[in-house]
Amino acid sequence: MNKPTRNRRLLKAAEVVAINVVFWVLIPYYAGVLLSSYAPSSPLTVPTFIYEFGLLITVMEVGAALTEGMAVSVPFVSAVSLTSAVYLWLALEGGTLAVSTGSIALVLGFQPLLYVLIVPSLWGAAKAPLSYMVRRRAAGSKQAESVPA
Amino acid sequence: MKAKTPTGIKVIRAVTISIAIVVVLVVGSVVYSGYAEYRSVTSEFKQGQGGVVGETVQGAGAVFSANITIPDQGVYPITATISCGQSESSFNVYCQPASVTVQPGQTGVLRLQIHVQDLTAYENSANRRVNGTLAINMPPFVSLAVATDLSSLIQQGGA
Repeated sequence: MNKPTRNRRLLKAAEVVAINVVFWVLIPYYAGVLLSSYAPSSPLTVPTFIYEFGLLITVMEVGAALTEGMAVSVPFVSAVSLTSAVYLWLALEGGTLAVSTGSIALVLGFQPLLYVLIVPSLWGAAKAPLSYMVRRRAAGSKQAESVPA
Repeated sequence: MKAKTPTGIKVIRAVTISIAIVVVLVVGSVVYSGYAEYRSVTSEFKQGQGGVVGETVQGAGAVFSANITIPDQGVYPITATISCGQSESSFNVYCQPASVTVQPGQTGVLRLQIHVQDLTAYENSANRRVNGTLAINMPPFVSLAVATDLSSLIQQGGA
């Protein structure tokens, strides 16, 4: 298993921070600004927990980038995936969005669709330890083969 | 020489790609169907063909019937149901709930009947609200329920 160099890890961590600031801070912030300017009376708002989740995910992703190739990176990668799944569930209010304006009340239910959306994150959480174990095993058997009898 | 990828990693990659394809297909088809449904319903109502309202007077009361056209331009069949809840006023208004299942590419008609038992009491009432719920289901993924006041149908029928 090729371990990445220290410089490569630092570069990846910086890349993760830059992408996450755009994805978790700038996009939600400007979405909120747009929503409040185009529909000031809209009951839909951008929840503030997005920033907290963004910070948590960024910290864990930076941890995963700095420890890439080591066993300790596996819990970081799995935790990022699980946190993303929880975030998606909370942001979409468990698959039931209710909006009420004037005399009209709308309830949109899409729980089965939300389960489908969460599957990649859950698979990501399971994939990290599985991949690590498979690679570790393959590296172990390769080493055993190279040892002369 | 390039290192050989372990079989386990190939299996994990295959599962990841399969999950990605299924998610993209499901989400894409649901979003497309929802958007197509929204566009066709709004265009029907803009053209004034979405609902046809009629009135039949029966003694002191009347029956207001509305035929609501529900086109399905998406890829999933849709089920539309309309029903009434309790009215807030003393006049006796009740609905005959209606339901229709529309296959993709077809158009269904939802026939709603609102019975007003005492039309004079209804017209003299200050609070003419008739609570109604229109539910549109796109099984198994999405359902939309719209709760609104159906008294405008009675006013249209009586006009």
